[in-house]
Amino acid sequence: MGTILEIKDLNIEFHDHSVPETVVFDFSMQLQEGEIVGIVGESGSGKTMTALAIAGLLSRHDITKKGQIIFKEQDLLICKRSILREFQGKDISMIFQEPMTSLNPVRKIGWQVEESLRLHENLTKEELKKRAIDALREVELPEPEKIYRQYPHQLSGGMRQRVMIASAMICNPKILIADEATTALDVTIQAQIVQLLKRLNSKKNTAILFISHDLSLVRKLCTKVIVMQNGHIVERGNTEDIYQNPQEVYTKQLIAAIPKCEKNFE
Amino acid sequence: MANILEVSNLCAYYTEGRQIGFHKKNRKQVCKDISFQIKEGEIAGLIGESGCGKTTLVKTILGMNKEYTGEIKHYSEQPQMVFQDPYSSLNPAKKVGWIVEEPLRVKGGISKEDMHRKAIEMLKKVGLDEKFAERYPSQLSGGQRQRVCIATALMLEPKLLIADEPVSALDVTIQAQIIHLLLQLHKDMGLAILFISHDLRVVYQISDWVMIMKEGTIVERGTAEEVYANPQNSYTKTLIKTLADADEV
Amino acid sequence: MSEKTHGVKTMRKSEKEQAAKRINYNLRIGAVITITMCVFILIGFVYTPYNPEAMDETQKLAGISWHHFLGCDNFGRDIFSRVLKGSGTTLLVATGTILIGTGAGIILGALTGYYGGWLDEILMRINDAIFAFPSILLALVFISLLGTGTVNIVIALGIAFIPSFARIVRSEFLRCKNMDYVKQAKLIGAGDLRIMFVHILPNTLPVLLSSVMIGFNNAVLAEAGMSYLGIGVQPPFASLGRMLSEAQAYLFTRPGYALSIGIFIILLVLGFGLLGEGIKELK
Repeated sequence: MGTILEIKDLNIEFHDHSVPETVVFDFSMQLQEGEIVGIVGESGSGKTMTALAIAGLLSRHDITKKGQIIFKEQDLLICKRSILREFQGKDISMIFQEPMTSLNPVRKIGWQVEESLRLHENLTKEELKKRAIDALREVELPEPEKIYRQYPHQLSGGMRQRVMIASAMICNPKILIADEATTALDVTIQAQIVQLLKRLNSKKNTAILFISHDLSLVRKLCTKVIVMQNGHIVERGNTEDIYQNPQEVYTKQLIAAIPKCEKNFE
Repeated sequence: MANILEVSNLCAYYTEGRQIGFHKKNRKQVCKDISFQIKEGEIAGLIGESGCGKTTLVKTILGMNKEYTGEIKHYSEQPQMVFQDPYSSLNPAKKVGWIVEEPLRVKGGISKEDMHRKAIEMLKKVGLDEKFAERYPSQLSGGQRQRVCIATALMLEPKLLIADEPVSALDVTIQAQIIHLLLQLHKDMGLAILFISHDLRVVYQISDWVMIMKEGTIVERGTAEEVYANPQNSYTKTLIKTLADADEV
Repeated sequence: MSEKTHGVKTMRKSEKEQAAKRINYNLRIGAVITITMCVFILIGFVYTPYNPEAMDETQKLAGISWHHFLGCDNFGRDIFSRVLKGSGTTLLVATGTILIGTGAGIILGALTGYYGGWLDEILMRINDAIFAFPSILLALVFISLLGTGTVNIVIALGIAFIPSFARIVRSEFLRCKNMDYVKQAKLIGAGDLRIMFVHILPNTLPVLLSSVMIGFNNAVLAEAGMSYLGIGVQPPFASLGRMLSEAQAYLFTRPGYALSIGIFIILLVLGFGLLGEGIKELK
C-alpha cells in the first residue's frame, strides 16, 4: 500500500474582507491507497474547506492557499488547470451534503451519471449506457434501467445520494471525498449509505475521505480519524483508540454528544 | 391530567398540482386513520422517516391543511411550532429582537417597553443574552437561530409546542444543547411538547412516550423504553437494529 | 461554501472589520454623479441665470460665451437655463412614473405572489398582455386617449411601467412565501396583509431597489423619447427630450446644442445606473 495523497501544512486564507481570515491552519495528512479516513468537526471547523481544496474546487481569486497537496507527483495547488481537470472526476471525485441540489433537476439520471465518463473516456453511446447502468447497479439501486431514464425529483433523498455516489464512482477514482454525505438523510438511510461506502471501498479499493460532524458514523466507517476545531487539527489517530480513549476535551465533548438510547438528561 | 390535544381517526390529504387550469388534480392520502392524545405537560415523540406524512400531520393539526377527515380537538390556545431549518424560519430582514417581539405586537394591547422587556426575558430563558436582540439572523449560528425560534414560539405562552425535526439540521454537539434546552423549558413552564424526529435515539432521550409512523399510519406506540426493548412491528425492529449496529460498530 | 459556515465567519469578525469591506466604487461614483445632478436640478427650480422661456432675437444660436455657458437656441433662449429647468421636469416625470409603477407593482405583485390561484392567473395574464407591448408604444396609446400634458405623461408612463415591477415583486413573494418564517407568522396569528407587507416585503427590497434604479433610467429615457416625438412635455416648457428634438435641426450647424443636452441625459442615467449597481453589491 502506498501513499496516494499527501497534504503538507495546508493553510487556507480568505480575502473577501479587508482583514484576511485563515480558516484552515497547518493541515497535514497522508492518505494510503484504499484507506478510509474521517474528518470530524462542527460547522465552521474548516473541514469542508479542506475537502474543497483537495478536490481543486477552491480557486476563487480571493482565497490564498499555502502548503502542498501532492497527488501523483503533482502539487494540486499550483499545477496547471488542465492537469487538475484531468484528475477531477477521474481520479478524485466528490459527493456533497445536499442530494437535492447536487443533481441537476432538468437532466435525466443516466445523463448525469455518464457525464464524467463522457469527459474522461472515449466511449460509444451504448458503452456509456452500459457503464452507467452497471454503476447504478453497483450502488444497489433497484431497477437501474428504469432509474436511468428518470429525473432527480422522482427519487427519494437516499436514492439521490446513491445516484451521486454512482456518478462519482463511475470512473473508478482513486479518492472519493464525501462531504457530510449522509447528514441530510434519515438515520436508517444514513446507515445504509455508510454500509454501501464500506462495500465499495473493499470492492474497488477506493480511498475515502469521509467528512462528518457525527463521530458515531465515522466510527462505523473509518479506520483513522482527524478531529478538527476552528481550523486546527485537535487530535488524530486510529478511530477506535480515539473513541475509547480520547485525549482532548473537545473530542470528549464530541463523543458525549452522540445521541444514545438512554435518558441522560434526567 | 387533562388532554391538551386529541386527534381521532384523522385522515389527511395532499393535493398535487395547481388549483386552476387544465392540470389534473392528484389527491394523495398522506395520513391514514391516526388517533392519539397528548396530555398537559408531557412530551410525546413521533418517529418516522422523511416522506411518511409527519409534516402533513403537523400542518393539519395546526390548521394549515384543510383537507382532512376526522377530528382534531385543541384544549388550549393555538399551539406553536419550531421548524427544522433554522435558516429559513427566521426573517432575514428583521433583527432578532423584532422577531421575538412580533407575537406580542400581533396580539396587541401591550406597551413597547413591556414588549421589549418580555422579549429580553425570553431570550435569556433560551440562553441568549441581551445583545442578540440587536443582531440579524445572518449573524447567528444554527444553534443560536434555533434558540431564537424557540423563544419566538414561546412568547405567547402556548401549552403545546410542536417541534418538527428541531435538531436534524444541527451539529451533534449543538443537538444535545437544544434538546437539553427543550427539556428545561418543559420542566420550568409545564410545556407539553410533540417532538418529531427521524432519529429514535434523539426522541428516546426526551419523550415520555413515542409513536412510530410508517407510510401514513402509526405502527407502534408505547413508552420509549418499551418500544426500544421489545419492538413489535417489523419496521420498528429494523429501525432499532440499524441503531444497534451504529452503537456496536 | 454553505451559508452556515458563512454565518459563523461573519460572527467572528468585529463590527469594524465588517464595515471595512471592499470599496464599492459603483456606489461611490454613482452617488457623486447623482448628488451633483440633483444639486443642479434643485438650483434650477429656484434660480436660473435667464428666464428659460424668454426669447432674445439678438442671441439666436449664439455660441458658448461668458453670458451663455452653453450658448442659445434657435429662439435665442439660454440653453443652460433651459437644461437646468428641463432636467427638473424630466426628473419629476421619471419620479412620478416610478412611484406609480412601483406602488401599483408592489400591490399587484404581492397579491398575486402571495395568494396565487385564480387571482394570480387573471392578474398576471393581464400583466402579460401589457408587458407584450413596448412601454413607449403603450404610453403613446394612453396619451392618445388622455391627451397630452405633463400629468398625463406621468400617468401613461406609470401604467406602462407597472408590469415589470409587478413581475419582480411577484417572483420575490413566491420565493419567500414558503419560507418557515411565514408559517411562523401565521401561527402567531398575523393577518395576511401584515405578513405581506411587514414580514415579506422587506425581504424583497434589495432586488426591488436595484430594479427601481434601472426603471428610473428607463423612465428618464422614455420621457425624453416621448417629448422628442412631440407628445410629451409641450412647448414652451423645457424638458430634456423636448430640447433634444428642437436641437436636432441644428445638429450640423451647432453640434454643441444637442451634445450638451445629450451629456446631461447620459449623466443622469449613468448616475442612477451606477447607484443601482452599487446598491445591488451592498446586498
